[in-house]
Amino acid sequence: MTVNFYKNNSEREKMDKDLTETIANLEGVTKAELDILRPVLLLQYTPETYALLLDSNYFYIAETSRYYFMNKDLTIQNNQLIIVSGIVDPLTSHSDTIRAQTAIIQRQENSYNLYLDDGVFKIYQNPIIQQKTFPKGFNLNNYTYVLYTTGHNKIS
Amino acid sequence: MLKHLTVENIEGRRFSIAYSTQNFYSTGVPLSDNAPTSLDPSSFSELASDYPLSAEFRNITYYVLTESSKENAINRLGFTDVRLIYDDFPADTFPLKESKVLINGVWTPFYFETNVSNDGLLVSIVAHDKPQYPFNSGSFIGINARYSNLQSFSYVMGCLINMVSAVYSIAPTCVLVDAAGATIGGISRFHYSAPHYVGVENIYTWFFESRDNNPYDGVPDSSEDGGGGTYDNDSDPIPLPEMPPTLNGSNSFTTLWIPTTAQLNAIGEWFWTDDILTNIKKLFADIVSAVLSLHSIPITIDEFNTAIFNVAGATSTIECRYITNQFYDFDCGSLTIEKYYGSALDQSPHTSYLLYLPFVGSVSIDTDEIVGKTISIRYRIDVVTGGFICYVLINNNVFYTYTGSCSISIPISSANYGDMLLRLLGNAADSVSLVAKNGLSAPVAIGAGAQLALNVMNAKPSISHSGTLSEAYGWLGVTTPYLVIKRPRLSMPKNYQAFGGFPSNMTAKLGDLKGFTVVEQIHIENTNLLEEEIQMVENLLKAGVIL
Repeated sequence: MTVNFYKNNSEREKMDKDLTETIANLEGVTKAELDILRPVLLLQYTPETYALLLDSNYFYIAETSRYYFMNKDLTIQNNQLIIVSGIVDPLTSHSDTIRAQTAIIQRQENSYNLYLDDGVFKIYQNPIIQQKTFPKGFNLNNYTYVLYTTGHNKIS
Repeated sequence: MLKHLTVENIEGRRFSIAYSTQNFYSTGVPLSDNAPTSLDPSSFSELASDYPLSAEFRNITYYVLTESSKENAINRLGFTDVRLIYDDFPADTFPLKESKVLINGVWTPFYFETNVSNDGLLVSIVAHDKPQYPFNSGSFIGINARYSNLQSFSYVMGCLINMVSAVYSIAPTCVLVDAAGATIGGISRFHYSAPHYVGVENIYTWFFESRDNNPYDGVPDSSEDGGGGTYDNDSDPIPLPEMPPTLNGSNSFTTLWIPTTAQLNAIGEWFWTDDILTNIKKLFADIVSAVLSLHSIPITIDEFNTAIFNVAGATSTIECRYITNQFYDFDCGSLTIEKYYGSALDQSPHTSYLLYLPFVGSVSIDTDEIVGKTISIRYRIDVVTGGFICYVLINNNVFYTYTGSCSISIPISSANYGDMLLRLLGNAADSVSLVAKNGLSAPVAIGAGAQLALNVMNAKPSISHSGTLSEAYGWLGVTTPYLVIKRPRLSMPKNYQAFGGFPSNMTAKLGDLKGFTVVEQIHIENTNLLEEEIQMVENLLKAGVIL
């Protein structure tokens, strides 16, 4: 079983991981029957390998075609074997398959509609208050007297 | 494994399940030669440990087939209310009977296969001409008509869970297929008359139903409806109305004089000369009777005629201006309400608008009606009375109208002055009353959104900004309309979109998206992922991933 170890510099939920290879093509065997999702591997112990594994947090098994988050409980057995375990990273392992899926998107970084109010925004309790005046108002200096009279007026 | 079945899932629903760690044997027809005739009760030890029975779950009434099943249900699984199904159900509803279906006039044995998914339950009735037992232990078989509502039973996915009840019923979807999977038509009825056989007796079959009846049993079943809307967004224009005809202008009976201050003073002097008093008293009791009103209005009138002032047949030597129109417009101009955030925060109820109108007071305006639009104020004044109607136009369409008075009466007698005082006091009382009732002043709000506008001030208390401002009060108030805008102050962490994203609610191919993404609904298909991986991916996508 061929295993590549990496240092993963990305968030766990990132699909395309930023990986720095620490050990390439290391041969190992599984401790028991291979659990594809949670493999436990036995590797030949050398101080150099152990040191590199301590600097690793991610690995890839060619036979399963899957990436794994490496558990940090490295165990050295009789100075001969290193026991390494991990749990599958399905997001990266199956990125092509996932990218082919269609879904209803709830929230997105770049594709969004801000007129959907999902109540997630937080607002301060001191609101913005503005006053805007209309261009024209009544000028009380420009008033007009109105004298309304009746009774056989002659205006012509 | 039945890991997620809870009281909440099954409350109000009736269904039956049978489960065993051994292969399951169904009903009716003779068993195949290699089928065991009994099941080992000890097989339930694994079931008991794997099956997380909550206390509430144990309190549900369970129905079992046999006394031995009842003992096991009580002693091994801890159920407290276990009854024999024979005791509580009529024989013709008892589910474990021979299973036959009438296909094109021929009674044919059959069995059920079911597939459970989040979309519901698909039941396939597989016809066969000889016993097909045992079923795979992973199968999930049988539905009884009386337990028809199984939509939420999608949790039952474990290989230890088999289901039987079944005999003649139709589940939400029922398809008859042959051994090759092809659909068979012509189903007319199902048959369930024969008793079950030895071997079935020892199946640990649990029938349970929720203890309480649904209190809404009298309500008709939900029905499909909706859709078929026209999506017609057309809106008819409501422009400013035409100027009405003059009914009370200058004519042979009445005259609308608009004297200058000097002209008015001269007229006043002339009024109290002996000649005019003598002449007028021929027709009127006093000079006041010939003067219908004297008041001032807060606008200038540029178009007028001039004539020698005369009243009630008495002619002066004073040249005075007069008009023939009764109504005049005063345009306060327009304001365009720009979007501030360009988001839902600009809309109601987050942002609210209060409009101050001279001689009216402050009124609330429906935020959603004006954001991104132009609001205009136009007064139409009746010169005769000083009354007006104020139009609030949005994009040149009338949305709100308010009425009031903008004149100041000038008393020409003590009685006339008394009337004016009474009118002013009345206005003051009306103003207090309106504030008490509404919490704000909206003297007359006829517009379409007027009532709605009363409610847009969020959860915070709405404070009246002014009362009724008519007549002299209006002259003492602010005489230019203005808007008071109250908008939320957004707290926006830096780079928020990368951590939480913004609302999307769109259907998209995930490969077309970049950055932080939260999926609301997805049906992962065409994959070689393991079942557990599919669940893991769904959980990740719904929690948020970075694509």
